[in-house]
Amino acid sequence: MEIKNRVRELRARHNLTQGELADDVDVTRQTIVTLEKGNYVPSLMLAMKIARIFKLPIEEIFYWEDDEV
Amino acid sequence: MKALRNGFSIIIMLILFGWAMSVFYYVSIDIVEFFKDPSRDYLFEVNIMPFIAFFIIGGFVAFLSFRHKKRNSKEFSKALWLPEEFAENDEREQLITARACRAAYISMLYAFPVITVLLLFYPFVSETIPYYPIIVFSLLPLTQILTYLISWQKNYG
Repeated sequence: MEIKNRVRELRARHNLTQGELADDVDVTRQTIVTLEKGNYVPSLMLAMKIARIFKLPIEEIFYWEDDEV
Repeated sequence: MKALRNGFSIIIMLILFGWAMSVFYYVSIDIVEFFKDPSRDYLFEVNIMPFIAFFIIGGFVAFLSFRHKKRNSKEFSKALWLPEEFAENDEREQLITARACRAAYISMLYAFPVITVLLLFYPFVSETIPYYPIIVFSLLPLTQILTYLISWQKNYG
């Protein structure tokens, strides 16, 4: 069972580029790229930073594959 | 990609160092011969080409690496001693480094017995390749660095 995320969708909604989001959460752009592809599961710290940027609870951004609607 | 570039620089330096030490092996033999027969009119002969190559190319690569690390690091000691591969920018790169280090450690466990067995062939080649142990011993760091780089490359993208 994999953890999926809505980072790409939320980033587009907030008009943020991958580079801008990367700067906001203090990681490299490559990390945002792999995260959006689903190839990387972030740490709790990074997930919380992303959640703060999008002003959403973590579980609305990161979810189990089985919980996908 | 910094890690890959730096890894290949280290491999080139290791090969040059191995070459220089192989030549120095003949120097050691010459010195031993001199002490056995002090009437000889020279202590040793040496081909200085590998040493020049190592110090010029190695010095240049080390200088570039240090300058790059110094630019990105506040601490002088870190810039001087810490390999550039470990200058991670975020948690994902730290994870990639951790995985690569794990792979390099495992490769050591397999490479060590193979290299030890290869050393058993030394008596058969000692006449033609007296510096054989230096070459074989250099395989250990080469194996580990290559494993590190392959793992790093595999996990990066």
